[in-house]
Amino acid sequence: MADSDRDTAAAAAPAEEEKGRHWLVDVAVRLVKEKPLGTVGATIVLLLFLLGIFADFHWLSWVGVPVDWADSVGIAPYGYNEIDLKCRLEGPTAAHWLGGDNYGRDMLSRIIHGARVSMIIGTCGPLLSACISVTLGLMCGYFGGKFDIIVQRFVDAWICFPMLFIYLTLMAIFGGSMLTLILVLGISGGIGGSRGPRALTFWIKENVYVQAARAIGAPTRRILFRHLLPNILPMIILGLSLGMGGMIMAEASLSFLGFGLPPPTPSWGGMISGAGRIYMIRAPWMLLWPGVALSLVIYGVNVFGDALRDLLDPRLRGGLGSYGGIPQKKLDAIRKKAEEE
Amino acid sequence: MRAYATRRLLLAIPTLFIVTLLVFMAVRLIPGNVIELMVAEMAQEAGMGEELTVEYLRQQMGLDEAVHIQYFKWMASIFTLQFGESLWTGRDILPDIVRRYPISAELGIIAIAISLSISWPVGIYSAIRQDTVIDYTGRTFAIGMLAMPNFWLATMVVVYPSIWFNWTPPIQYIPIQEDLIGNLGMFLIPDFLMGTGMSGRSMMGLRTLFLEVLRQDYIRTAWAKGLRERTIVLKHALRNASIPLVTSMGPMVLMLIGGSVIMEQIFCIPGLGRYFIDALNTRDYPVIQVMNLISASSFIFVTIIIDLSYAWLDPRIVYR
Repeated sequence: MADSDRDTAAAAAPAEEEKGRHWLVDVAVRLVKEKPLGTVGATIVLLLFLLGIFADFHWLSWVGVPVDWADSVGIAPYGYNEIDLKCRLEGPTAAHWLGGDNYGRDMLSRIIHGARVSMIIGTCGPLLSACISVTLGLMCGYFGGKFDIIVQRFVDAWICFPMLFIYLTLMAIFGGSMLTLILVLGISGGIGGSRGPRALTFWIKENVYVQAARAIGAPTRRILFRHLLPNILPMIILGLSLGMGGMIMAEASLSFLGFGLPPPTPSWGGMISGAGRIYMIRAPWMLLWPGVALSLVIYGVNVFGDALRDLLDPRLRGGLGSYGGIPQKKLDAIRKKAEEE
Repeated sequence: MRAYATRRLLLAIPTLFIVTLLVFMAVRLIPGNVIELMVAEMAQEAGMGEELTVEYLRQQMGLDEAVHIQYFKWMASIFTLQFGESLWTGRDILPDIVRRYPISAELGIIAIAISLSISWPVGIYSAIRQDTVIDYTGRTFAIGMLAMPNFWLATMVVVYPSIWFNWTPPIQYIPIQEDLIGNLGMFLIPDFLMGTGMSGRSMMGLRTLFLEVLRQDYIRTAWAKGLRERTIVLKHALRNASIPLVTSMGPMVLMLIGGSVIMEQIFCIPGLGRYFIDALNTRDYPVIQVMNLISASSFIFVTIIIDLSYAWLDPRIVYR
């Protein structure tokens, strides 16, 4: 497989530190320079986070800051459940830019608060999933043997179920809330995603430096965290960016089917399903904007993730963010070399 | 080949066993108070108040014995194809599934056909005409299809044409025996949405694959021999690119099952997806259990078939 190239990707990371900056900064600089489409995607993702965090400032009260002024500052002009009957099923006005829904709630505010829901799912879900897949993958890959065989049979069985079936079944059993949603999406994603880190660990642990570390008596914990983990870090970052789109979409689908977040919560998927469907003739904007927001975010995340994949893993190329199979620069270099000869 | 086939089949046994174990465990995860809730809910709605008690329900779901005995009993009934009965309707589950299966299968097969007939030509063409207007158009379409949630598009398709063109897509299920044309017409829109949705991912995959194949030595040889482009693309490149594509069919089937749940819900198609959602809504756990078991085990069989056809297509590969 592309194992040898993962090595170059991993090995390239320390080499780039010669310039005295972190390799993540380097990736960011290359993203802006080389991947215009990926930069657009990154901007959309950044926007999602800004909207989600600063929709309002009520969360400050959770960290102990008084919130007397919180109502007046956030990006969202109104609360997501704030009712103004004057704008009920009314189209766009100066006071309500995207119109109002069937309860007279401001659509713009609900979309912005919906960004927060997507942001939380799209961050916590992949993070939890990464923790699980890395722990499982590292342990299976490093220890191998019976432990690996048994765990892998469970992983094999787990990925036989259609993802939506697992989600729906578990959500039906445990009930819809933000916490169960994150747990269900994160754990099932983590189990399925543990195969990549496992395969990579299998290969990395044969390297001389791991053997050397073992020879000088480094404890297992040190080998796992200092030698193996940094090498699968690019893969973890990729998993986070790719998982984000999938989990935001999964949350929307679940909420659409009625197994996600319960109604007053402004989830984009939920807005499309319930009142959005009923009132879509009288108030098309109730259906339109959540879909547009969702499409934009998924588009941004996908394009960003693919650009990141191209930058972190040169062999796995040709995704959405790249232009062409072989990068133009590489082609030019090959051509130049051929001409010189 | 025969040794490989045998080994592949034997390897499926532990997976299948763990699948049954997972499905079995899932129902045991139901918190206790949910059963009490079910009793209250069902007694109210179904009007069968007296006989419906917590004990009856636990017994019905096989929850009143030691766990391992429950498991063996359950497995025995699965092997004799006694899938039990629905808690909600009281009907046997198996006939219901058998009746609904062809509907979902039709939906899925047409969707795959549409997806392939879009993704293959467009994917191949944008690979052989890399970085041209056609390539960019094709890729933009693929990205768009990946980004737009199909439940959103489907919801809009159901209503807006009726306002704009005075035409409503049929959302009444028409059995195939009664009216073939009407039946196909009804499947057309959900299938088109599912097909285009799936074609995005496979189009990108096909394009990448083709770009790699087109840079192989044997393609250069074919060019050097002076073969026509059509021959090179269709004979030399396509055959070599088709092998990895066969393996990508497995995940596609899984995606299809997920997609059909949503489409059947929106377009009121009485298939398995609809059955599953209805069961979830009424917390009909025996049905949920059977549906999960069937979907996972059919996926195992699909992957076996795919792996075997892969081995048959590509005799070079030596199997461990």
